Amino acid sequence: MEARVKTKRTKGISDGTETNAGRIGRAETLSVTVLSLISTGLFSAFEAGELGTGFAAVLTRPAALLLSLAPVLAAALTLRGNGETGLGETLRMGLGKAAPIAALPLAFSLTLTAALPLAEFTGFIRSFMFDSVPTLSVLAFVIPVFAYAALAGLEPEGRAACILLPLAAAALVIAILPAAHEFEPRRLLPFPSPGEAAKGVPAGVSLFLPVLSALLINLGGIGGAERAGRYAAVSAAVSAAVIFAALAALGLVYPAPVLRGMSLPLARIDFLSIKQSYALRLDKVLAMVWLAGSMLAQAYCVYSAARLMASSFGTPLYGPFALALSIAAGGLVLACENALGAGRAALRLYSRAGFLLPIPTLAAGALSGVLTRRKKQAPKRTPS
Amino acid sequence: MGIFGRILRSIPGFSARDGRFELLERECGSLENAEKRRSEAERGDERAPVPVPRSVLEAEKLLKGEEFFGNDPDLITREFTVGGRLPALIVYMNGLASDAKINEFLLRPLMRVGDRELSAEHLIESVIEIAEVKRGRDMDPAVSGVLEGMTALFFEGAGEYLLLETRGAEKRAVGSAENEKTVRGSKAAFTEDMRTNITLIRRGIKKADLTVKLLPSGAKDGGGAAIVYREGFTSKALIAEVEKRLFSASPRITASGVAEQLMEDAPLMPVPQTLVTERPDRVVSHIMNGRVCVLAEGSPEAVVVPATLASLMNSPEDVYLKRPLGTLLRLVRYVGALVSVVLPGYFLALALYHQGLMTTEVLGTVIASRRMVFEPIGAEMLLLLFIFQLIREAGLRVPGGIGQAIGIIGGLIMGQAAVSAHLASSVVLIVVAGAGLGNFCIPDHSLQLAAAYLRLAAVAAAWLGGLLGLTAVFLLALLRLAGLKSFGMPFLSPLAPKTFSDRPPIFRGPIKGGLPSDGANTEKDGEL
Repeated sequence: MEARVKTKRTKGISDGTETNAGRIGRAETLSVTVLSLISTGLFSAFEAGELGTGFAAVLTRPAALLLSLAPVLAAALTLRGNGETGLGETLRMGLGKAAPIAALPLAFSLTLTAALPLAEFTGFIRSFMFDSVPTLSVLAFVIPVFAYAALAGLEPEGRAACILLPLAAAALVIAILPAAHEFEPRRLLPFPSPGEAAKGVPAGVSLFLPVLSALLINLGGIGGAERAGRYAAVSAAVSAAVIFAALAALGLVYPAPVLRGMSLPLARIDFLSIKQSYALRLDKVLAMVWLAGSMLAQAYCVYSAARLMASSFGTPLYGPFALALSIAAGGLVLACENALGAGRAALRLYSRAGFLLPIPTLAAGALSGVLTRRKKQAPKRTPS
Repeated sequence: MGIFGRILRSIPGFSARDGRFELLERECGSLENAEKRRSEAERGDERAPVPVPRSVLEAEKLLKGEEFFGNDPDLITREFTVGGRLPALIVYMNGLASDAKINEFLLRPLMRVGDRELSAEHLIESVIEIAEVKRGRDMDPAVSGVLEGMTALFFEGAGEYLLLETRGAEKRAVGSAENEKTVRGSKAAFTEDMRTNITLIRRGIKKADLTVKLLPSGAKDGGGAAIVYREGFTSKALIAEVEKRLFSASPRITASGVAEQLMEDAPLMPVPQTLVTERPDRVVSHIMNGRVCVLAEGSPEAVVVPATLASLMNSPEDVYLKRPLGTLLRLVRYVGALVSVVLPGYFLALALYHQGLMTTEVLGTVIASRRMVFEPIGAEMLLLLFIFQLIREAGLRVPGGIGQAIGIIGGLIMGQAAVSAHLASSVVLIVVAGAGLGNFCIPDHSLQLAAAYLRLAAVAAAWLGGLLGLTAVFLLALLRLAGLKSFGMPFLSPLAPKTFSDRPPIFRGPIKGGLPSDGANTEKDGEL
């Protein structure tokens, strides 16, 4: 029998559980989830619906985030009785060998969600940091680290997020605050009509729903479905507020028609405040801080997808899946600039219709959760 | 697990699960294994015990035979008679045992004893004037004792020996710390003598729960290494893990550095995972906080586990200063470390790829300083970093005064000459010097070297990929450090994961009312 570590007063290290291996605490879970939500919300390209008549994303993205919370909370509620059994294991228990098929849509959508900000950053780096270098050269730096982060697992990701989140938040403040003198409310006009704004919501849901669903995949690492529900609610509220504030600042600086042609506009807001002074320009440095945070956050998505697939196959070895999905995400980013922009078209299609993708997996997971709980609760027949 | 799982498991590198460094959950085993390894280590080479011969002449012959000392010139054997009647033999090592103690408190009383009864019990109780006496019938402990400086006393016809405490080897007096100098606070440093070091720790911790456990050395019942901790307070799991890692390897522990490497979780990581210190006050503070200290005979330093980045960045002087001053010093230290690692790479990235981030004035200065320098700026930076390490190594290895002179000559004259000869530009020289100074702010020597490694990697990455390369390297390093554990304690705690009692590492907390570290997972709450 393996000896277990006695843990006490270990909130933040083990949250009072028996052993700490592969587990993260409250601060780490919230950090990695908030970082993923903010990075996806702020650094993914705006869809046509979000930049129609006005800058609708200010409202649609936070609204979509809060809307994405509902299915996740519902799934968490049904998984509550299964202890710390994650979504993948629940699918395996409920559906048997068909579990990977049910898991595939969510894993697919997590990988695409991971690719969205990476594609934006790659475009920004190619256009503004280096003089039109090939995408492959940029990805040569990004993908190995991204893959390593996805392979590293929940503990390093959570802890690194604990450190990177304050840095990324500080970078956001440093970028936005000095540009405050340029804020003009008229740039937010015309306000999009409710019908117009509603068109942007699905795009937002397709961004946020997979990220929040990742909590349900990692139930074993974060301490059960009840905690997952709480973490999802808190991180969604915090992230919605931050995304609203940052996008509002962006809308106060750039009107919607200008934003339509810009990639990674937040990284360029710095130009407005520091034109020529003795202070050093920080726009690219801030972009790199966000890139680091984004790489980590998106690696968490890929890790979760890999964990989901591995557990639905009934194996704890997520490594090969993580590696394969990282390369797939990298390939997609590469295809954004090459292969006639097939990658960009795929990502655009996902933004428009991808909100439906995680639903079958979540529904199957919830159903499996209920079924397996009933099986456990059913009285065993004893031979008379 | 099906065929698919088995195929996956067979792929090298994918069989490890996350959290594999967790305390007691390593593949090498659990507490039961520790017990097994301990008994294995105690059994030594499985040789059958050699009984003590009844004749002293035979005992002398046996000791001088190939099986034991083999005519070692330092082995002293002296035959005499107890009270002029009972033939006896004393055996000790020249230089390790005190001649004066042997003559004064052993030979003289034994030779002059006039009593009728000459049994071992009587001699121990009434004649021998030495405090510590052990009896034995097996030759191996006698040999180990003699090698430690004790004296073995054999009697004709007894078939047993007495092992007497006569240690008196020359040893260095307790001196002042050479490598961890402080303006305020204790000046005492460990010596090469392990017993003196244990005494220094005991002097600092006047608590009955302080426990010293000697580990078996190469010979049976030896004392090559020792672990020191607070029984009932320090985590039992931690103690068991230290024992597990050390017991199996204890015959190989010839120095604290060896113990350190044998205990590490990730031996290939340049970052130290144990805290090595020559200061007893620092060790005392860590033991009080529930950590375990390892001492090795012959090493004037102690190894403390588990270690975290915060513990490696703290200086013993911090607690002697007021809180604001202590905090300020720590802040300077962290900024210094950051400058040391980031500055050269950042400057290189800006100068090579992102000139727009520099103001016109700064850019003009950089261009002007590099006007006649022939090599690329990346090569120039690497060259200067190499020369800096060269000067540092040379300064460390040569005696004090000359070392300082080398530092000054290397830094000032060579630097000036390099700029004049257009081998290096003054701006790059300033950047490298700034990074070097920042490196010296790191209190731990091993961590300084690890920072130098990371700096080199950052410069190479910045040369290849500018800020993008720099970001990739730092994220990789952060992930690696975030995944690192020292005896189950996350290396970046209390920063990540955040803990209840541990304060942020930069801010020095109040001395009173402190709690032991959360990460140390002590058995009792709040007792210091």
